[in-house]
Order: sequence, then structure tokens, then C-alpha cells
Amino acid sequence: MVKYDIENLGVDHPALLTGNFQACAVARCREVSASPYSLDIDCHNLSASQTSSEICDLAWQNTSEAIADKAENTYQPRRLTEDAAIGLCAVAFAILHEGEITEVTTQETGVDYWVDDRRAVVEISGIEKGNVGSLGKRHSEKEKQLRSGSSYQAGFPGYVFVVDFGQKKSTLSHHR
Amino acid sequence: MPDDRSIELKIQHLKTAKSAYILEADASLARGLESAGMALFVKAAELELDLAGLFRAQGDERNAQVSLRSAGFCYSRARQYRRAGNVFKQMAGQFADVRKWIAQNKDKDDLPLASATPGLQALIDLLVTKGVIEENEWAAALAPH
Repeated sequence: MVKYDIENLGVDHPALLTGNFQACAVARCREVSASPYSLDIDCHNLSASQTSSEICDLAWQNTSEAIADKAENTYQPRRLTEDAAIGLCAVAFAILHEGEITEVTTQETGVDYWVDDRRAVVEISGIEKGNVGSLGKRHSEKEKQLRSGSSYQAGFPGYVFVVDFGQKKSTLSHHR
Repeated sequence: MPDDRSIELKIQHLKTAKSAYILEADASLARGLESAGMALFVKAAELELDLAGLFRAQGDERNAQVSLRSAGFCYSRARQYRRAGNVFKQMAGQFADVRKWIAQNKDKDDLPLASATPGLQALIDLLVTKGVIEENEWAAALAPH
């Protein structure tokens, strides 16, 4: 088990303004448990880590609770879940030493997140409260989306990260 | 002449800045703040073009193409279709979504940016404040039919 303070997100991913992702992550996680929130990470074919699974105890301070209140007042539920998923993806990359999210680029309808100065692209998705099969189903959908995506087809490897906040489970996979 | 280290630092700064613009632009459009989102996407596109130029100056065409693709789609999301097309025309055709975009949008023109016309922006702000229109309605109304 690994402990992680979410206030370290900006230190581990210094190229991005992580405050919003951090606030949204706290907002979603605290709906399920008080700090620390225990997250299962199922890992597949990672490039740096040989781990097949990890448990992360994600902790936060009262100051982050106050910022999470603002995030809840600002964003609609879907956006809150999306940004919270990006926050937890950044946590997973940090604790598994898989890389740093360094950049955002634009695609036709959304955005791409890049790892380690365009070494790979990452598809991220969050589920607020799923059931037993939700995580696997969403992960398959996102993997298809990654493989059919322009960046992957142009030769960039990719990751898929999906988290179900209610089930406290996530999957991180690497594809090349 | 700038050395490699100073160019690398400039690239890192530009990446952080344009990432912030893209995230804010994307969030603004998602909240229905059309004119703010469009203006932010135009700024992000300009920063991506700066990045592409720096990568090209280093002989790094792979990264230049990634930045050009992003710049074009930033313009497209700001409904600056002519500008997007001009960026995409510089590209080598590596990305399938760029080829598809050119096929579907090559004849479209730019939509006016409210932020570039203070009088228009003031009128839109007034209409939104008075509840006559929603923030995201004006661009659709001005689009050529």
C-alpha cells in the first residue's frame, strides 16, 4: 500500500496547473469516504512499473476541502467527475513512477493529455458511482477510443486510465 | 542567438501556458461561455504555433506536427475555420482527424470573434445580462446558413 497526499500533485506534475484537478478529486472522493480514500489500481503492461496492482491511500487536508467546496459550486457533475478522474490519473502516474503529465493539446471535440513531453498520450475517464461491471466496460470503450484515435494511429503509444469513484477501483493500462 | 537551453526553457513555458489556456477554453465552452471560450482557444492556437516554430527551428518535425494539429483544432473550436484550414495545409497528412477535417470544412469561413469587436461584445453582454439571449446563442445566430 502507498500513501499519497493530494497536495503533492503540483510537485509531481509541475508543468500543469493541477489545483482544479486536485479540488475536483477531493470533491468526488469525500462523497465515498473521509480522508484517506483507499483506491485500488489495477495495472496492465505498464512501461516503468512491473506492478500488477496497487492500493493507494489518498489523503487530503482541510484546506483542500475548502477548495473542493468551491469546485462543487462551480462545475456541473459530469465536469467535476472528469476533472477528478484526471486528478486521480495524475496520482496513479506519480505513485507508480510511470511518468509526468506534461501537456494538453486539442483535438476535434476534446483534449489530449500527454505524458513525459509527448512520449505517450493518455485517455482518462471517470465514473461517479458504477456497479461491478462498469469499470471494465468503460475501460474497453476508452481502449477502443485510444486505438482508433489519431495520435495512436500516428505512432504514439498510449495509456488508458479509468476510475470508478463509488467502487474505489481504477485501471491503468499501457498500449503500444 | 539563443542557446539550446534557453529554447528548451521557452518550450516548457509555452507548453504550460497553452495547456492552461486550452483547459480554461474547454471549461468555458462546456459552461456555455461561448465568447470567452472562443477567445481563449484563439490564444491557445497562437501559443501552439509559437511552439511549432520552435520545434521546427530545432529540426524536430514530429513535435512540430503535434503542435500544428493542436493549433488547427484550437482555431476550429474557436470557429476560426479559415485560419484552421491554413494551419492544416502546412501539415504532412500524418493525422487521420486532420485529413477528415480538411475534407469536411475546407470551404468554411471564420466566424466573427466578439472579443475582437468591443461594440459587439458589449451588445452581447447586455443581451445576456438582460436575459434576452443565452451566452452560447450569438455565435450560432451569426453563423452563415
